[in-house]
Amino acid sequence: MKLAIKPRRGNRTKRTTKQRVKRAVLACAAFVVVVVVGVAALGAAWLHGYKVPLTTGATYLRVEKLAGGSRADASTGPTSPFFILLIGNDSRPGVGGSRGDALHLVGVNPKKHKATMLDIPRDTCWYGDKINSANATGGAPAQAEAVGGLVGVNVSYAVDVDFDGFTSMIDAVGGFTLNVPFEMHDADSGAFFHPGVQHMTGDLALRFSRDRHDFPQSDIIRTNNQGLVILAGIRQMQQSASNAAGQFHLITLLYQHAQLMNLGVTDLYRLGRLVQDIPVGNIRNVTIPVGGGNCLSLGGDAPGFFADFRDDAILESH
Amino acid sequence: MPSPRKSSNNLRSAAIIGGSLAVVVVLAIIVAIVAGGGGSKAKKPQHVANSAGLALKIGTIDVQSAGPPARINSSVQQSVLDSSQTYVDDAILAPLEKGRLDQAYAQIFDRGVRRQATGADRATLTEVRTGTLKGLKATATKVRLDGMGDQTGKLVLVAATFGVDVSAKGSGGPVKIQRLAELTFAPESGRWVVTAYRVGVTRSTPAKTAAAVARAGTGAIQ
Repeated sequence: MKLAIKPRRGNRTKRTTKQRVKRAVLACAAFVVVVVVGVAALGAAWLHGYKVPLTTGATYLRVEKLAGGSRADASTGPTSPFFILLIGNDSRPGVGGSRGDALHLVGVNPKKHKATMLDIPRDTCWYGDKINSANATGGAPAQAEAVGGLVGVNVSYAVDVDFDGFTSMIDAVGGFTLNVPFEMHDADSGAFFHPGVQHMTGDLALRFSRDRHDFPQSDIIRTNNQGLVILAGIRQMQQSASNAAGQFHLITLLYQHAQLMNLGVTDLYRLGRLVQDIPVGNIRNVTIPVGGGNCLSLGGDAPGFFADFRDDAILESH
Repeated sequence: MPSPRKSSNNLRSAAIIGGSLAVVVVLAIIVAIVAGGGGSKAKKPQHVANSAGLALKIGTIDVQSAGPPARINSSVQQSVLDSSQTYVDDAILAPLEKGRLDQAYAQIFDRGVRRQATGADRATLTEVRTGTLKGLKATATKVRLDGMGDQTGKLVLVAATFGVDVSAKGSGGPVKIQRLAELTFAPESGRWVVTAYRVGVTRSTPAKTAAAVARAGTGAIQ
């Protein structure tokens, strides 16, 4: 009996070893297949133009061409005035939220090489609610509809950026120079600045843009300060993209770090050239007239102010 | 029933074949990606002859892309060079020699900028108002080409940047004309045509020096 059992044990041992080798080979083969298929899929996706995170970098902002604005502008030609909404939303890791806390409506008049940026306080009343809540409910298109409705224009483009994207984007271009207009000491936002020209990192720019406790007019001054940051950013962009090579580089960066919706390379190139052709001195930074209260009502001269803006995208008599 | 050694050999062979196949596939993908970004070392384009003896030559080429690497192939290089040469011949040299623009000038622009190039910007883009000059001598820098690929790596824009210097004798004395042209081309109906431009010119005579810049191609909404 013992002699009969021993070979069986030996066979079982051999079979077990064989099975282990087979399993190991199969596992290795499966792993290799998964890696190969994965690499091939990523390569194919990349070759077909899809964004592959490892090859395209972090997404800092979103740029969207809106249907309503495009339709309205198509009838009047490519050199007609148009409107871009810049949105800074308050979404933060661990905090959430996506209200449009910084709202700036830029009217561009290509023929006159001029633009006007309307700074819209986030607490401005729109249909009984603060206007910034539109972003939380319907994203950039809803926010554009609310701001466009308030002013009476069709918004063609929306640029949406959150706190993280804002700071990362500024740091990615090496910061910018800003002339801080007044003393700032606000523990809430972390804004501690002396007046004067200084270099802004992403973090400092965010602190500067968020401070509202230093001013009696609170959000109104803060909104105007955000406008100063945007103008400084445009100036920086104009300097770094003064020729085709610079503009192409900027477009490449945008594709690496922005989610672009309904926008092609040629759109971005033409927009870039447009911005390039408008001197920063020809861009006015104006806060819309508002009254008081927690939900800010429009000021008495708002209708005339908006009419002046919407006829040719620039403020002339205000 | 195969022997355990034979079975083990089969497994080893299968593993080697599978591994080799995987390596080949990975190498093929790498080669495909590298070949896709084949860079800008294309064939040297041929010159286009012109009556003033000035032939533009291609210099530095740089291509950027919003997606996979893009390249400017030799036919696109030649097309862009030919149109740039047409601009120099028909808009700069022909008016100085014959007192008028050659008709091919308008054809290098797309519909979006043609009206401006032949209308409001004609005085800056061309020498039609300078009048005829004698003893024309013209030199040009090499043409720098900057390309831009879209999300799929397809070439959609090519900017040609070059300088042209002209010296000649006018009725009031020597005349010097210095130009810096940046012509941005895009494909339209199978041709590469100028969709945007930025051209600066400085004209100097013994009496005065005048500078002007013309830009077009900023229409953003369509």
